[in-house]
Amino acid sequence: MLVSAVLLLVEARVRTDALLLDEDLTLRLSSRELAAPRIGEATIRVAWAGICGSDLHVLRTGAWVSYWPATLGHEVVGVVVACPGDEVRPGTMVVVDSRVTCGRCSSCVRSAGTCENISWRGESCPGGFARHLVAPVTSLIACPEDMESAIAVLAEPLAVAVHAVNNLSVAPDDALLVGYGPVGALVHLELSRRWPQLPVTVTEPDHERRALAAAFGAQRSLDGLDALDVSDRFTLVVDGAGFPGSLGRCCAHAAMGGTVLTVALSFDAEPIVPAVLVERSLTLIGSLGFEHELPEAVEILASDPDRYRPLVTEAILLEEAPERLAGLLASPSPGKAVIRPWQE
Amino acid sequence: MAGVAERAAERLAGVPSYRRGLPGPGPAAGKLSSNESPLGPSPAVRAAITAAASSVNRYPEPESTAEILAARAGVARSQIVLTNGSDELCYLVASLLLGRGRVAVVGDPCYQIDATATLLAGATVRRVPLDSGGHDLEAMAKASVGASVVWIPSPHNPTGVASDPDDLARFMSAVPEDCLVVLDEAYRAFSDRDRRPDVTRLLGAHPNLLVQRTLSKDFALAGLRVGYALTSATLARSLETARAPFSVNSIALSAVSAALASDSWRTMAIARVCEERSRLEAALRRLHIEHYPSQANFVTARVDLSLLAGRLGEAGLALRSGSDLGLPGWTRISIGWAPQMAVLRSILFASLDGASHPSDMMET
Repeated sequence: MLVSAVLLLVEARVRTDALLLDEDLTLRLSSRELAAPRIGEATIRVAWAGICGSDLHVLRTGAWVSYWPATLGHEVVGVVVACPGDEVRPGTMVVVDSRVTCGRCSSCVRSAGTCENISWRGESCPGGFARHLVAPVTSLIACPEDMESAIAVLAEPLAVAVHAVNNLSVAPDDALLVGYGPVGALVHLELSRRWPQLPVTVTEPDHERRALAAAFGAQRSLDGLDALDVSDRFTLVVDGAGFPGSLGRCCAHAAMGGTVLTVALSFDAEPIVPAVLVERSLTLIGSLGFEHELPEAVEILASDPDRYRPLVTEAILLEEAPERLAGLLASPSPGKAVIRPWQE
Repeated sequence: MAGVAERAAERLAGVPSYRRGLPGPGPAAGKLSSNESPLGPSPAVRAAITAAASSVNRYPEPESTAEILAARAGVARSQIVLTNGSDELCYLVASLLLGRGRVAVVGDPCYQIDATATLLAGATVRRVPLDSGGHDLEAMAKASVGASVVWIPSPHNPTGVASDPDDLARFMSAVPEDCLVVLDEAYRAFSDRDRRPDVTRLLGAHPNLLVQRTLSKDFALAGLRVGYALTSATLARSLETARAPFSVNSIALSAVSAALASDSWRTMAIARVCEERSRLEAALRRLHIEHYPSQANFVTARVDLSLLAGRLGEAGLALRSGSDLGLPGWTRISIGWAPQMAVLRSILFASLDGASHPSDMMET
């Protein structure tokens, strides 16, 4: 199998089945040309690709995409099938770093996660909603040999959650999670991994997500911020929802000296009164992606896969994806939905 | 005179040995052959098991667990008996009520242990063919005349078909009072609400009913072996007398208590199984593959397992051959975790849809 794949790659022009998003936002299952890997690159047969909320945003709006037709998917795990420079042994299961950085700006020198020109796999180059992709070997994290690929696919969003929690300068006494999409759930799991006794309150309108929060040990799972008493205050408030006004309301529920951490992408102006930040001595943190946390996320998942297993709530074959993604746009999965490009 | 081994073998003549579902060649999540819980126990249960390790020098104390289970079932404490998995209960019932010259009625095909326990006790099995995968309750009621026990799993294993609760109530009224009906509800939690009989009412009306439950399925404790019987206080006393005094161990009891303390994990896990069952059934319909309408955490379909074997092995999946379960030509598919079920769908489509298998990459 691997030999034949390598032989095929000798040819300059090979194609792989892929989901293609056209500029008019039509999604179709077709094929796209797969560039032959150069020295320093590898071809990866994609085992699983997670569907991120940002993928759904792109499907709706076409935002951030710089090439057409696009193949989305930046949460990727697969197996290396060709690596002309021999940097990675074919057959190795790898997680693909989602970040596409310029490598030139001053921020890149500091950390890849702070690149001024950062873009994401799928949006600036073909991503994992395809049977194969080509990626730089420097972006590949080798997984432990016995790790389940369907667990490893959570590494990228878990790295986001680990990075968000790494931003905290003090351990919280309690936490309020506003919104319980996959990143909110992973922040919850990371908080409880570090502080098992931390009481966590969740507000989330979707009942299935609230059920997931309860299963993961949330002390309270409420259907919205309105269900909280105005006097309910928390030393950590995480905005994982990003609805209009959410950040201001998160600040209102932060305890004196507390922290408000936002991981939600919201494009609405937020009416935050600076005096609230000052008089309540709040720390407001925005957290984008991750820096060095991707290998750590792989290790965390490998060490306790069953803890994270319930988060994968739906798995979709590549052939099923065009129809199912349309459904997810209307009603997202309660947890992480993943696509199976690998064909048995 | 025959030796010990010969005498034991003679006693087992005609008694089928249990054939367990085998794991796949890969991670445990690929085992879709034993109707286990794909998401495992909750974090609270895992913590309770760890904590219980420090007190294994003490004999088990089952009282509080039994009280909670009885309360959940709506029966008195005196009406519940904890057992080492529900299988121990089968052997207890057989040892008390079956023996040479006695008869037990089963559906055909039946749950393996029911037949094994019956035959091991020296009794005869009277088989009543299933009707579209479900029990033919009228025929079973007729067959129960002169029998000592009727074994009725509902939903049934190996088909997943659940009996109608109204039909079950009529059946109970038709069965002679000197014949015990063992209603095995191992898969009750995965069935629709209107397919779940009101066992509290049935137990109140029929002293010859025993409801058999297990914590191996929806409670995800298969490895700890905990089951229980709900029945009349009189029969419960007899079962308690007959069973080994500490057959449910202390770690298992701690795990059960933790699992009963919060239902959120179990509720979520049941919902996931039902979603994946629907997806699998939709795929089977698309492929025009005959299958029983399942109310359990598995689906049994008319699939030749040998056609899938190669791809299943490569993918690390294991299914259960119907040949093991009295349904040759069929395959029992336990509902697993979503990724495993997607892989299985892919294999079904690739193997049974008549479509050619495309190459990994297409040269242009």
